[in-house]
Formats: sequence, structure tokens, C-alpha cells
Amino acid sequence: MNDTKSVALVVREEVRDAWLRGWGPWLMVGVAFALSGVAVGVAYTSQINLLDAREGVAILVRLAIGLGLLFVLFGAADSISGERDRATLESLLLTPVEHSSLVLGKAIAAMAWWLVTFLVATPYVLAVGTGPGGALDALAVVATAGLAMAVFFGFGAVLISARARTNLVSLGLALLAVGVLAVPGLLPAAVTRGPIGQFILRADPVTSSLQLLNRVVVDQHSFASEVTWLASPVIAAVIVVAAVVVGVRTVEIEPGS
Amino acid sequence: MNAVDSHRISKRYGERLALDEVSFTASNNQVTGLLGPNGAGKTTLIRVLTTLLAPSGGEFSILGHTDPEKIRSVVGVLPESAGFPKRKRAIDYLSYHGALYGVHWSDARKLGMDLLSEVGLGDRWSDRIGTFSRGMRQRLGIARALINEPPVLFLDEPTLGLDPGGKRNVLDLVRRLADERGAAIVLTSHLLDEIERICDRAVILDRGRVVYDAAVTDRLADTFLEVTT
Repeated sequence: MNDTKSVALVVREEVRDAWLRGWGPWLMVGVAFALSGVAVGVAYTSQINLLDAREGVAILVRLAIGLGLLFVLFGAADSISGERDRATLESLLLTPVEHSSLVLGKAIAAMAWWLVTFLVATPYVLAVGTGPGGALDALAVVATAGLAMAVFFGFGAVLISARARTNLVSLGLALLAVGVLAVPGLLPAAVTRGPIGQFILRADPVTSSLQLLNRVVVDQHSFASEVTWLASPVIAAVIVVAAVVVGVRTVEIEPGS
Repeated sequence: MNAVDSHRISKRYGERLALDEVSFTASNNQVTGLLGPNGAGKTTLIRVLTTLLAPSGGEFSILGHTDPEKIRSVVGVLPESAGFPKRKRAIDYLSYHGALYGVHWSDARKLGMDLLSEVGLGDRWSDRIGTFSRGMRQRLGIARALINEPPVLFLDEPTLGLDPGGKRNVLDLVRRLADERGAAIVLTSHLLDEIERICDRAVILDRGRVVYDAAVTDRLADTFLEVTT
């Protein structure tokens, strides 16, 4: 069977599983509730001048990006090891579809979590950030750095899922990887001021994306002047996509056996 | 030409030898039973023959094919303790698998409806799989194994966990598939009476080795008793 057709088939079915038969719509209702609460809080505190409008938008965007990436991560980390745990993987591997097409299809389908979260969050960002709040700047950061991170998280988690013996291992390793990548962002300013610290901030895709958000939305720098912060998220995304496309030729029913 | 032709297949997991130079054949219109106690290597053999596991040694062909992708397109498999997506409707499950075999969606759906009727689930086509009993799920699994209209069918412990009525239904269905479709069916079981009831030939596996390979006769029961006691 044609590879592109197989990938499209898997994407279609995975998206239907998550959004027609699964938890997708209900989780998005939860996201809308969370964003509503934060948006009301941000609007109120901005009005009484306790919070700068742009800082408020940044909080909203961080929440939307965080939730979207979490959904992508969990969806992708479950995609293959979850089927292995539920004993549904074997029947998929027995079809003549190439294993690489199955993996690629599942990775692409995980991006739907990001896309829908982005669509749900957009009206909130526009409502809170219109005028001095820099809503369009914020959406530009979400659409670029956020998308690159979603690809990095999604394809990376699928890579882990394809090789993990159990779903618990897959989810644990994916969360551990994200935790490690978040560490540079927690370093004290004194450490990151020097050239080595700056290199670490720029090399880490997670921290680099947050730096871009802060500089564009909070500090009001132009997106063009800070675009170099996009380098590591984009490079990281390209590397994991290449690893999935080139590196996963076979999926084993019992990894390591 | 034999439908299944395996020659001295071995499979090693580290130090443990799961299959030790297993040779056997299976023919069209016949149900061949793979009998053996738990851990004898039946599931490993099925996984090797259906290309899910690479053998450590030996060779095999299915209808003369040795290429894994070709083999997967001509076999149907019901894996041991197969899982099912509980939220999917039976017809959607079959249609998707049909499409994975290259059948157009609308044709896969029609084929799925025909298969559901054939396995006695015609009136449950729109129900979620999560509402099915274990016996119904096994019959759905057999329908899925038939979605590519395979000339060779592997059924790994198809009656596992079923009540007596469910077992009878599944075994009758398997026999009918061999008689009416002319398929070569390889069925594994650890229960002698199942093999005696519907199989034309039997192969007994014991700790990865073939200890019996002949028609179903009284000697089968004697050999199986020796293996299990």
C-alpha cells in the first residue's frame, strides 16, 4: 500500500479515536474553563493596576502552551506503548502497512491536541490582550515556538513509546525528559548571565521558547529582533521528526526480546 | 505446495531456547492443531510464522512467500488474548483494518458487515466493542482475521477464557471456515479435546520441540498425556 495513504489512514483513525470516541472534547471543555478563570483574574488585576496587561497575557499564553504540550506529550507517549499494554498493537503490526507509517501517523495525529488547544486559547488571548496587551505578538509566539515545541514533544514521545516495554515506562521517560529540559529555566540569573549560561538558555528548546515569550510579550521587543530564540526549538523539532521518519523501521511486539 | 512450510525454526530469548528446530506443514482445507502445555512455544511459533518475531534459525514460507510484507497480506491472525478498542463500534473496527489492508473504506465496510453476519454478530454491528462478552470479542477477532480474505489463518488459543457454549460456537465456526472457505487453519490450544474435535492433523510441542506430527488418532492422546504428566 502507498506509504502516504497509509499514514493518512492512521492519522484519520487516531484523530477520530481521540476526538469522536475519546476524551478530546471533554478535555477541551476543561481547558476552556481553566482559561476562563485565568482570563477573568488577569482582566480584573489589570484593571486595578496590580498586574501589567502584557504580563497577564503572558500568564494566559504560558498556561495554554503548557496544557497543549502536556496533551501532546501524553497522547504521543501512549500512542504505541499504550496499544502494547492494551494488547491491540499486535493486530496492527500484522497488517501489511509498514511500521514506519504507523508510527508517523500516530505522531502526526498527536499534533491535533496542540492545534485544538491553540484554537480554544486564541479567543481568550485576543480578548485579554487586545490593545496594549500584545495579543498578536503573543499569538505569533504560540504559533511558532509553541508549534515547534509541540512537534518536538510529540515526535519525541512517540520515539520513546515505540521502544518502551510498558506504557508506564513510556510516560515516565517522556515526563523525565521534559523535567530535565525545564532545569535551565530554573537556574538563577547570576548563572545564566555569562556566555556559558546564555548558551545553555539558547540550546535548551524549552527554556529558549519561554525566553522568546517573555521578551516579545512582556518586554515588548519585536518578534523579528528576538527570532534567534526560535533556533533551538526548530532544530530540536527537525531532529526528532527525522529520527521518527528515518530511525523507526520496525516496531517490536516485545522490545528487547 | 503446502500453505505453511516451516523447516527447523529456532527462536532463542537470551539463554532460553523457546523453539528448537521446529518443522511442520499445514495444507488448505485442513485445520492443523498446535497442541502443547503452557510455555511449550506455541505462541512464539505463531509469532515467528506471522513475521512478528524474527527466527534465530531455520526458514519458512507461507504459500511460497518468504517476504514479511507478502506474508502479512496473505495471512489472517487471531493473537492470543487479543485486545480490542472498547470505544469503537464493531463495524468501524473491521472497516479500519480492512482499509489497512488496502481495501477501499466503502468496500471494507461492506465486507465487515458480511463478516459480522458470518461470525454471528450481524445484529451487533453498531454496538461498541466494550459492550461485547468475551466470546463475542473472540468471534469479532476472527472476523478481523478474515478481513483480508486470507487463504491461511492462524488462531492462537481462540477459546481461551470462554464458557462451554462460547467454546462450542468458536470451534464450530473454525471448522466451517476450513470447510467452506478452503482455508489452511493453524489453531493452537492446550486442550486435547478441542484439537481432537475439529483438527485434521495435530502437532504437539513440548519445550520448543515437536514430539508428535501426524493425523488425529488415539496415539495423539497417549503422547499428550506423556508430555503433560
